[in-house]
Amino acid sequence: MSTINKLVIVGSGIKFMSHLTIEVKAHIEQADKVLYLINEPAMQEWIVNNSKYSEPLDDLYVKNPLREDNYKLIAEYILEELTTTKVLCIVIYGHPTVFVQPSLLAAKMAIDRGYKVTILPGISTEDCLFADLIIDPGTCGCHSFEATDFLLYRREYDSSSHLILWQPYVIGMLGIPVNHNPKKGLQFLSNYLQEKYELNHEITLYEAAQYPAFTPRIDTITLRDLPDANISSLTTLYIKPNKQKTPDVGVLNALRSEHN
Amino acid sequence: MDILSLLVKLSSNIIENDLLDELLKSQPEEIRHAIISNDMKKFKSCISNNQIFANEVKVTTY
Repeated sequence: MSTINKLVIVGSGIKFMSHLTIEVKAHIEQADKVLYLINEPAMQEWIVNNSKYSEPLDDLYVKNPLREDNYKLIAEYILEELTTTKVLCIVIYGHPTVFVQPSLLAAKMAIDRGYKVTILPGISTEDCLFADLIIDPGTCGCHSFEATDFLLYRREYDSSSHLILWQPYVIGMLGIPVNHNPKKGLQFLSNYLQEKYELNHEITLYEAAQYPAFTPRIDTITLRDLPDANISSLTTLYIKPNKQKTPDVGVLNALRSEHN
Repeated sequence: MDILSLLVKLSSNIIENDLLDELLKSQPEEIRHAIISNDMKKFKSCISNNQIFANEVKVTTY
């Protein structure tokens, strides 16, 4: 029988309890220790009440001014705990590897050191967005970027596809989110988007429902209004396509001739 | 019914408006109002700050 300690990284989903899979619930209840990074107090409380032993990672998340330093700190702490814990469960809000660098880092470090690692998916904000906005990313493709990354690296994208920009509330901010005003970054973002969209193009401010009995926030503004938009730490931007997709005629004809 | 039990009940049942009203009667006014007005920010603030939970909880933004 193997004695290698095991790291299980799970996602709690967005909506309290409603998005918790049976598999994830079992791991939280049965792991020897649970560490959690959850921005929602009810889920935190449920974990405390339903696990053998649990501990928040919140303090490590805001310990240093730079987020990257804190991600590394969290990953190192997880690995330290793993040396003495047979089954260590890490619970992350949403999906455990979507916009959560500490869990990815910890998973890679644990694999490198010979530990067993399992990652169990959770429902992400983007999953909720597809459902609530009635969008299929398969119809015309979908770009998904972190807002600061999108702006800073001038990411190329096709405006005949859906465009999703995560974390606009912290756009332009490299450290931890304290007293940050996103207006300046949103103005830069608006300028960049104007290269492909008209000023009256619609942008959806989306926030998934975090609790049962609540409904999502779906507010529509124009690109012109983006710098002054009411954006919170939960907001995701959705920008609908502004033109029809057009096929490559050469490829299309070549494919057709293959069938003839 | 404590707020955690209420949320668990809401998450595992299809609850019509009249039953929701009934369930909310036992809740503090500010929580009831936050749910009825769909104010998630207010709701989260209520359950974070008012010592509704026995354990110390924090809200982290990231």
